[in-house]
Amino acid sequence: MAVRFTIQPTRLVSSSPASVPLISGLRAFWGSLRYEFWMQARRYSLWIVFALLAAFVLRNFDSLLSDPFITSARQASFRWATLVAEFFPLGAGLLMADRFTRDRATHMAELLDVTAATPLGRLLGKYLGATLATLVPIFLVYLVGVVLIAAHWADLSVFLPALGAFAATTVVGVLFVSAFSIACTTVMWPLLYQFLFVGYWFWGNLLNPKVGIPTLNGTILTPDGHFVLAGFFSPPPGVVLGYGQASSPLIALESLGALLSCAAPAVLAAWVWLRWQAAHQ
Amino acid sequence: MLHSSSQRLRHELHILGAINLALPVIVAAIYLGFSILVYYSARHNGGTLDYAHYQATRGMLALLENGLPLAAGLAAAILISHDPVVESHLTFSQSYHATATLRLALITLWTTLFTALVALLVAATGFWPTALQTLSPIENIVLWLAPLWWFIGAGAALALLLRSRVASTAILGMVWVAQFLFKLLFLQSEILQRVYLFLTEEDGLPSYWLANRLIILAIALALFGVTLLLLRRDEALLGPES
Repeated sequence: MAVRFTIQPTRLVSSSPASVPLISGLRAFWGSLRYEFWMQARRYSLWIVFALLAAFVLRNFDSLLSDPFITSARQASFRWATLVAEFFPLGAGLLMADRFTRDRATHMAELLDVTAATPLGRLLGKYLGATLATLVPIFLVYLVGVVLIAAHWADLSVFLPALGAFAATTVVGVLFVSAFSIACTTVMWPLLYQFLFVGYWFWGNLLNPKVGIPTLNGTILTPDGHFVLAGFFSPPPGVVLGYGQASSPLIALESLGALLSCAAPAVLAAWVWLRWQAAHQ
Repeated sequence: MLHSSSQRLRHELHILGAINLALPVIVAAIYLGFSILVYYSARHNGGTLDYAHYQATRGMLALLENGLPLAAGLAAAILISHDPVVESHLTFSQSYHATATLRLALITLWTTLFTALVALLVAATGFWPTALQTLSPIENIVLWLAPLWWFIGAGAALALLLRSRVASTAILGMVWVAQFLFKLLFLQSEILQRVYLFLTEEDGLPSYWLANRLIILAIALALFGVTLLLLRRDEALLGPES
């Protein structure tokens, strides 16, 4: 049952002249993205984790369909999107935590360091490739829920807003947490990172912002994306999970910008750290 | 060559690594910090001394019931599935099964003793929740022992069963968060409430609390049994997913 991958160095390395760093970087990015995507997508663990989770969540799907606050398929899809966004990016972040350390454990990092593939291109490709692959099973689980919603309400028009809701919540959340899973594990023990990440997820998403300790929940940096969803799609009160904070298209844009602009510096900081490490070896 | 059991023990402790051993201490420090923050936040917002104390006791209870168990479970999952020289070890006269069992026993012993020490300190400093002071000494131990061993057993068994430590740690993390996110679902179901891991943190102990703890403990022991059986399957230890 062991998963074996045949590395195809020519695709990743395909030696471009070092004097053209942009082309070399783009090639490294694209090669790394494709390789990391398929490597992550073929992992049994990715599918097993989300299949178990889906079985648990979908088994209790009736409670969503019978919720008195929900009166249409569109509203049900928004609720489903927030439920997925509150839970599934956690699994994505944990599954991404070994992507960077794997290259060191298998000594692939040293091998790739001597190729023309630039470290930044490789890092960005790894981040986006593995993240997109992690989104695939989440999207399939989400799609099953939307099909159930469409069947329950006999409303096929729900698919389009449901896609938008998924992009506004889960995709943004997974991009956000994956950046930190890649970046933090360049400097931190994965075990410690995983514990802190689980704690962060509870603290930053589930704690009531109105009582107890200060939390990121309820701010535009809440990674479950409910500000983005509520701002862009204006669902009635009570449909989107959260603590009833008001949103608007402007707040939605701010939240989107804040989350993505935190993710980008995280990956870039990891690259700077790796460069510094390489220079001081 | 290792000539004595003490040398062997030292070697295995070295293999366990500083992070596996230090993680419970780091987690305790984090929860303690948050509890102090909650205490001062409650006082700062006009709460009474009793209310602030109550909030701090909840933080300490959370450390015992959900913080240290998760840390122990993650450590067990990493430990049981990570040995870069497992192929060589499988050729030794000393079985890998015995070595891995010893490592699991060490991490279980260390986290259990540390959690017991924390529980004693919490009680001695007056931060044991008032609602739990009617419990017998054995019940006070089962309170934290059940989730602790459940997480260790689940982490180790899943890592071997799925042959992937990252899958095991992901499932542990999601189970942990699911206890909060789907709490109502757990507590409203007659079956799920018996296996709800963080039941003590609910206000007022329900009548099925002891049954819940004993069932979780029984499941934990069963998971240890599964782990030991899986460790005997040498071929299953080779070529884990990377």
